[in-house]
Amino acid sequence: MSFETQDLVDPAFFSRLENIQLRARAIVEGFLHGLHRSPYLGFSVEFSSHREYVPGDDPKHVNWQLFARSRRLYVKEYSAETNMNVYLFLDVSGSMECANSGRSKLHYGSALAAALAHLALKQRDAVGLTLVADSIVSHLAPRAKPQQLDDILCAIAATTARPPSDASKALHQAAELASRRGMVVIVSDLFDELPAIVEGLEHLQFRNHEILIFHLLDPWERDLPLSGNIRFHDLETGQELVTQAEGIQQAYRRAFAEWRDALDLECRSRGIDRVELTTADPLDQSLLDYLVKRARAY
Amino acid sequence: MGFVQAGFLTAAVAVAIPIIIHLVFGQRARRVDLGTLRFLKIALSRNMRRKRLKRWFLLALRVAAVSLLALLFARPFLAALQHRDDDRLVVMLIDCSASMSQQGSQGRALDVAADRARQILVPYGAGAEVQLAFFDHSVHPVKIESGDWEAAETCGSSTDYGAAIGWARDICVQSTRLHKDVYLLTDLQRCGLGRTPAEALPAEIRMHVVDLGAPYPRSAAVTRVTPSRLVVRPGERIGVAATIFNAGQFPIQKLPVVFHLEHAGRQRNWRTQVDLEPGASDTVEFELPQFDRGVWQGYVMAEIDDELPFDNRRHFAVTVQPPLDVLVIDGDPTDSPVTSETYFLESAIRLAPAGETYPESPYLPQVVSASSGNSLPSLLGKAAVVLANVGNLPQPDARRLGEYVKSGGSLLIFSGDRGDSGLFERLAAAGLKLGESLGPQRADPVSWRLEGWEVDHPVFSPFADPQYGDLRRLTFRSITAMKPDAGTRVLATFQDGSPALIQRDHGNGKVLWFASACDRDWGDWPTSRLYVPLVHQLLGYLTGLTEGGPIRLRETDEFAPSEAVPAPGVYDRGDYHEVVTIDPRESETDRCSIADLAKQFRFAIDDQGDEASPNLAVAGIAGRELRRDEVWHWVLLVLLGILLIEGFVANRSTG
Repeated sequence: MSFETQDLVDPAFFSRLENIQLRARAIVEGFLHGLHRSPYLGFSVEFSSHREYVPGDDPKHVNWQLFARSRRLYVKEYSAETNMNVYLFLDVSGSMECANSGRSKLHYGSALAAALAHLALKQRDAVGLTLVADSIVSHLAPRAKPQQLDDILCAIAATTARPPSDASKALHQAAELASRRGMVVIVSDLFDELPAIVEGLEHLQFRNHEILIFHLLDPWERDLPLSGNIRFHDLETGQELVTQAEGIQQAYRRAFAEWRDALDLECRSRGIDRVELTTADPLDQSLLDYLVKRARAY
Repeated sequence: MGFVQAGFLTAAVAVAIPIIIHLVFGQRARRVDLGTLRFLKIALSRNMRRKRLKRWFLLALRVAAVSLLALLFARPFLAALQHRDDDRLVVMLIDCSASMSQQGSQGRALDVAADRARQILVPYGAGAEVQLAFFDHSVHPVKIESGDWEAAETCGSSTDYGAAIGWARDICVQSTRLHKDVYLLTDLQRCGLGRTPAEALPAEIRMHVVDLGAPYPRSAAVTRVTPSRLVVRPGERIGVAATIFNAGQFPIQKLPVVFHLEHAGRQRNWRTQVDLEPGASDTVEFELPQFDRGVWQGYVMAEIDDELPFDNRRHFAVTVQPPLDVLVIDGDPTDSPVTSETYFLESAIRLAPAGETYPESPYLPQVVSASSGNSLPSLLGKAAVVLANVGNLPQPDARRLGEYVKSGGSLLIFSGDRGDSGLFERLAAAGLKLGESLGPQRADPVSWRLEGWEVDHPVFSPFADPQYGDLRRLTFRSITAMKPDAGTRVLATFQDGSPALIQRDHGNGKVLWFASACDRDWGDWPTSRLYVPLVHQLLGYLTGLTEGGPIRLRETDEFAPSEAVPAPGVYDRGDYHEVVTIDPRESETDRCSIADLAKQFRFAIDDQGDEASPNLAVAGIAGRELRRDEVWHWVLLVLLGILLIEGFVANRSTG
């Protein structure tokens, strides 16, 4: 076990999250009435809008009063608030062990996943956890019961470093497991080939999931604020490379920025939120900032 | 490209340092974990070639920097940078006095001076006019093209800076060149100051002084060897005093002194010891035994291994011989010796009254009468023959006299009332043409006086200064007027131009004819205080004593610049022996500073560096002066540029 469950559940942090309502941008399917809007229109309790009748519509939804006035056929559409399936995908591959700022990405990501699970369960959403590396390491199906948080925390705490990540394979497997539409929260450094990641994301979107990516990075991985002769060690492959850090700093940052911009472009083009966090960022503050911004947006 | 300090090139091995640093420190790196190296590989792949080039470029820069540093200290020069220097005059003065034989760690000081002069001359272009001269007490110009000066020998004389600087000044003043440099390479002996005054050097002349001397050499010198007599009579004993001088800065205990004497294969040696304090001298006396006739020559030597060996030995010579026989022919003998024609003459020659002898007299006169009708006695072994008022001679005697003179004999003739007509005719018949006698001339009313004479002639040279005797004060009541023969030389004249003294060379001998009598009949000059010296000068000239006698001492400084100065020693010159010694001033090791030299001869010191280290040893002088074709400043410039580039590239480069 790499860390204790107590490390993941900071009461002070959780108390600050009490008043935050996690809102999904899209309407998800749910069987509990809650704060989330249902993706299914016309069959719930709250009128949403009219649309022209098309053959096949149930005649009982035709607004006959409107027909009497306008002599045109319109059917009523309804929307209903519902609970949400939240799928937490936590990357436990070897690269997540990078801990140059004193805290590993895995530790940071685990705390983040625990916080999100706590939030979701607080508003009665079903939360599941999938640990991914080169494939699915473990999977907890979404549940809304209070015991689910303990199960999630135990699963997170029991995880250890894994072989190199295979995003394509892992995301495809996770997509197959996330059969009910909901919100997929990916906590990962996404250090894999961009096409494979995009394929996995598209697979999830194909399943009508809303995708939120918490992109975790070590500060040194992003900025390479180093100087001198450095022997760089790849945590996944074990490969080593010796070079003068200051000499390649600019090129490194440029290469990283190009990759990040490409990833960001792919995400935005698909309506995927990508939140970039470094292990040096305060977890609570980063999460709060994001949730507040998101709450205002909806 | 050449190098002034080529030894520094060995420092170029330090180029291994950056290479070692490059190889060793390239392997030392601290470990950093990253989630992935993909971005690192991308970055490296993008500028891998550029980085590799940079690394090698950095290494090359560092190697070049170290190499240039070594090159900088080696002081490279490019002969190709020499320009023609058409407007430049270089005067090189090299001290070749005896003290320049001093041995230093780099060899003899004179050799170091020649080497230094060669280094100094290298940067000057082909158009520069170079005048080179060695100097001691005089200046010896040499042709720079000959190259002989590079293997010069010490001249053996003492130093005279005045002569050298005066010569250089004259050369510079006469030159129309714009830039004039005078180099003085010397050991800065203080004794060279204040001998020959020189005018101040013009301001446009740049004076460079190169000090080649050692500060405190260990040196002992034999500065004087003085026999009590140079000419010793057979059976006589003399002493020889030798002065030993400690010119060094430390006491010398029990210095062995050797006295050596030899003659005809026979050698005699005496030894003694002296203790000498620094700067002190001591006199050692040797008592010599009786010697056989002949010239005995030898030396006094201080047995010490010092830096100035030239003055450790001093030569001398003495001759053991009887007085010279002088045959005096009295042409007007009387019964009373006092009224005799030769009374004063004989006494003057003997340096003692009649009947007495004086051992110091160089002559032993023998007076014979010419009126007896007897023929002349044997002339064999006679140093000179004096005819006193001999009006005539038998023809055989005249012929014998002619042969005697021709074979190297000397004849002195005093005129008189017997007239010289017959004598002149007989001597002319024997080959000795003196001239035509015009008969006695009496003073009426003014006495005859000597009016003019050859002041440089050995006879008259002691009388050049009137305070030692004014020959014009001699008066003559009568003289014999004569018309000299074309082959004669008039040495002195009376006030009317009549010859007073004539000289005729005949064969190997000489004849002197004096126009007045040697007694008081024609004047009172025999009672003058000038009579004895004048008679001795006349005889001395004929017998060679006026020019130094049989043993002649000559210091090297007394040789004319045109003469070849022999090494110290004793030389047989035929009629005499010459003892050549070195001026004892040259043994003085007191040194002056360049400032003293500049003050004495009123020139500005151009090279402060020389003044700053005036006592620098010979070993340290090489490469002290900058060559004009050195390129070290360009090397320094390139080095600084490389260091700047290295610093710039290193801060922006990978490992």
